Amino acid sequence: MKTIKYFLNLSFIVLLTLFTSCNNDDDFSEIKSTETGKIQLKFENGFDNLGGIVLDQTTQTSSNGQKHKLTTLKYIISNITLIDEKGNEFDYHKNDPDKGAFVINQDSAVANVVYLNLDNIPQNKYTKVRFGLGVSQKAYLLGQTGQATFWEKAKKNGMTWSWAAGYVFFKIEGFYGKTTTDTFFLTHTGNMGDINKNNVQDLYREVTLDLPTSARVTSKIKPSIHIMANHTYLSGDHKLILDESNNNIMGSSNFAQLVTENIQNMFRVDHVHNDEKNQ
Amino acid sequence: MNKIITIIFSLFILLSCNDDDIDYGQIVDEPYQLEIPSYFPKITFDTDKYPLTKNGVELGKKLFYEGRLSRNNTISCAFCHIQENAFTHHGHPVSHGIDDRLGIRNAPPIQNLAFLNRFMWDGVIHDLAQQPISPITAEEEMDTTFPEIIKKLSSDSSYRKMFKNAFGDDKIDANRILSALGQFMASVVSKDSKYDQYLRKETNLTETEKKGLQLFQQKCSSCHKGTLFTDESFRNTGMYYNKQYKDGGLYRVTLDSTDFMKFRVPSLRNIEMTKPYMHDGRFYSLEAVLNFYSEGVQNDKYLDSQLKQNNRIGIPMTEEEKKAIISFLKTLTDYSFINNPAYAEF
Repeated sequence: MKTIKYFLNLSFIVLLTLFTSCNNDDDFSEIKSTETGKIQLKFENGFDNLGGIVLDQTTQTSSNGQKHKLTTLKYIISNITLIDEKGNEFDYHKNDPDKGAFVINQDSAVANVVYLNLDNIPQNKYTKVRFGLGVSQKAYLLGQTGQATFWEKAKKNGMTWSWAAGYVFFKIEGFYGKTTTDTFFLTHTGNMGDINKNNVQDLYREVTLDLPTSARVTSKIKPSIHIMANHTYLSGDHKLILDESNNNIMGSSNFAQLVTENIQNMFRVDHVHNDEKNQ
Repeated sequence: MNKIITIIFSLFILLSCNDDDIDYGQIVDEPYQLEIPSYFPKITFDTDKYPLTKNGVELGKKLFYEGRLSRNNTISCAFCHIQENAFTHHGHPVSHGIDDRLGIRNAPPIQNLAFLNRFMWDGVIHDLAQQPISPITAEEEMDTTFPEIIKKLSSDSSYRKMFKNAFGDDKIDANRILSALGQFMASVVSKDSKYDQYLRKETNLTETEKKGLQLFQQKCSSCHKGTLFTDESFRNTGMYYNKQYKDGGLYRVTLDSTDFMKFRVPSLRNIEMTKPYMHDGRFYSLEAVLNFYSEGVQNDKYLDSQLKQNNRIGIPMTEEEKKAIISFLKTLTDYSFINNPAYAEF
């Protein structure tokens, strides 16, 4: 009798559980590798030991004690690649500037963040992101046919020299000084057109960053990768001082090369959100 | 016989899920005792208007973590006021609310508000229990109305029960919602930092921390006064005006040009946990804040006189002194506050 009672109770509980348990149609975080989703990159430009860059206001002191503030800050990002834990790489419109190149313009930053929204990303768990700083030679050599749209966009943003000279990769302008920021400076770096023909340096750089937590692209999740750029433009691996000889630089000369080496190391991923995407 | 009992028992279990007509029984409530250290200022929270009770505080806490206080049920107070960061919005210079809309100000901490007289960066709110009206109705924060909220809460029997336990009957209205939230906020007290223990002679500070305290008293405590570290005054500290946020501080309230870029002196308790700093989160670190005070203060027309003493703009500090002050500021972190289950969601 006791056994029967026990089994009756047990079967009742089991039945109850079966009928009342959750019925979910679509797992929120399920990755369907044959389908695509979306991802967002957020670029936050700042000085790590100071704060976000408010153009014409935020004043930084370089490691050489030189005060400087920026009135213009723009750079080109292209050839974005997402890498999963197995090392598989997804290239987002590689060497296709019309679709895969972007101008990060601090003037358009909202609460210090510039947003890039990317579509048609294969659903996956990504653990690294890579991007190019500037436009690669290969892309540039596609000619106008390959990039008329981006060329226009870049031109509107002031990020081009004439076609023969190519794109401005990194553009900063502002004021510097010992105690007050009163002397104007500009640094516009980029490749001088066809670098082999023109026998000049290649300033295009690729930056690979680890994601502290993986970015999960699913049907429901649009991850947001928050990239901090700590503008060690004068205070990176090369400690630079602005003066009469280098406060007006355009191109790929020695100073531009040193600046490029500084800025290529200024990025890191601060965090990743795996949030359900909005409508 | 046993079979029948089992079946009847099971039927009762099934029927018990419907609680609409349950008798709530006798309401048991008691006053909520705030533990106030002797060296804290007097309580300013109006306990005549909003008596502090256990059930009131408990209801207030549940509402604090309630997403239904926003239009699409996702943004609760706790979305921007996160306990681990002393109830500030970790890492965000300004907060984003519903639909990712951006505000213009840094979320201030919720701590020791029962002892203050005015609230928000521009001091515009004088009654703590009325403060929630502002974020609840703000388009970029929670974007909803009280009638909407009341409709949602009224259809939830667990809320009707809690309102009955806190206020005597299960009617839900704006005054009660605000009273409960006010009571919860008043109950959130931070008084057990290393510095508090030092004041109570329960622990000692290191040499550097003591040096920092001394320097703090010389250079900072004329504004960051007393055990709450604020004299609750409004000061222009020579910060640049951010054209994107267009936030002139107290000027936005009074429209008096002498109030331009004046902001309320904030409390520095738990400052280690509340980065980034200032009304718009412009400084990522305490080092950046002190560097601002020593080198970055602008000689504004209405710059506070405290920041132009002896013909020197700002507050002179050597690198050593800054380090010591920062180590003192870290003693204001109250770990038991940050981890207190009485203020936690679960």
